[in-house]
Amino acid sequence: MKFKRSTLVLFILLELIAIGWTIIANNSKTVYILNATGKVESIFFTYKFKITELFRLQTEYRKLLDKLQTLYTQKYNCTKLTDTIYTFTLAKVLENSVSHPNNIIVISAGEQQNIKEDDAVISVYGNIIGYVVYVGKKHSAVLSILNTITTISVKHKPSGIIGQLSWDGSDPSTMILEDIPLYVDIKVGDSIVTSGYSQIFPPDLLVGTIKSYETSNAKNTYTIKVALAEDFRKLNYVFVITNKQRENIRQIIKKAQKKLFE
Amino acid sequence: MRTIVVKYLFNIIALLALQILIFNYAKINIGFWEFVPYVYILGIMILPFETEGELLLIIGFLIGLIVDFSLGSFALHTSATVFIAFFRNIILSWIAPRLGYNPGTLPSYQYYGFYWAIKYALFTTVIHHFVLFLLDYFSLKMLFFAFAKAFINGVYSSIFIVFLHYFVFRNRTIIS
Repeated sequence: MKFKRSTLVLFILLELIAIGWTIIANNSKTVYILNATGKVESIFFTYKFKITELFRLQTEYRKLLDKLQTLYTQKYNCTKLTDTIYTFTLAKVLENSVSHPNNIIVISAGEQQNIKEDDAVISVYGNIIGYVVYVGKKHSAVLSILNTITTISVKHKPSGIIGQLSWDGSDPSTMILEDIPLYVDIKVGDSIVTSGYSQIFPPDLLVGTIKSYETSNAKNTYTIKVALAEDFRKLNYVFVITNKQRENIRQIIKKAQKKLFE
Repeated sequence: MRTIVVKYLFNIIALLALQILIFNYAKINIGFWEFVPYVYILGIMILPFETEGELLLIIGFLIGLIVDFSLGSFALHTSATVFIAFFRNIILSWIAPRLGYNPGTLPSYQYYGFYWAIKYALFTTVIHHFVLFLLDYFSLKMLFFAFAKAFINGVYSSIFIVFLHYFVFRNRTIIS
């Protein structure tokens, strides 16, 4: 049994530090409170949480998305009808762009997931993304709202006035709203939501907020710049909304038009 | 001496990674008893015979601290690992071959044999787990459980340690 005195001294010192730390930390009341208040007092628990959190993030994320799906379904189907009108399908974004005049998003849901043409597509935060233009077996192409060929029917939320929202092709974070009359009271920060008058998008989906507006003597409406609520550069998952009543409504409109022009 | 120990840094880090990522989850539950293999102890065991005591203690402290961070178990493993770092040389003298350890060799499975490696692993782990569980169940009531658990968990840990001990030294048994 041979060891130097200095080794023995260091051993006793380190051992006392470790044992003392354990006993004090174990008996500290703060340890037991940590779960209730969410405050982590000990650096041991902080690091343990951080290490295990990395492995849990993936599954937590998917669980949250599933929860979102059920919540959206409940929120949009709060009607007196017994059949659900809107179904929400989760899909992953495979291809995306914001730099073309008409941007297409490819998603991982198609015929097999019961996606139909003209289904609305929203982000996981509930903001509008676009609508389905082509349905493949397992994938679909979505026309993003960042396109120069279509406009969206939107509503100025505080006043309820309807207008058409369009994109000028340059800034992927801003769209233009041009037909809100001057007598309407608008201010920066007002919400712009879907009006619900198209058969594609459900009503009251957030599109963006008013960033700035200007008036000109040439026309009697504002030219409003809308800051989009969703960052189109960072899309990962989306929900596809299928409107079961849409077919019925289409038939009714067709019949009404036929009657009108007879 | 320090340059040789730096070569062991990779081994120690690999062992800690194995412990934190894999062996922390390789638990066996029997009733309310839980047995976890603690293979990071090998990090102390494989350091050269001639390593100074102070260095062993400091390395042991740091290794134990990292494992404690990963488990959230305050300074339990730190105290057990420091203890084993101090007693390592004593244990080595208990299990030494008849003519002692050859200078210039490393404490390797390949050079000193399977039975030596098993003895080394069992002694080290059981003593380490004694300290660990005595401190964990810091009461006289649980003394028996602490001892029993130290033995059984010691055997469980040793199985993996002997296996890994072979792997660490598969390319060298002599200080180059």
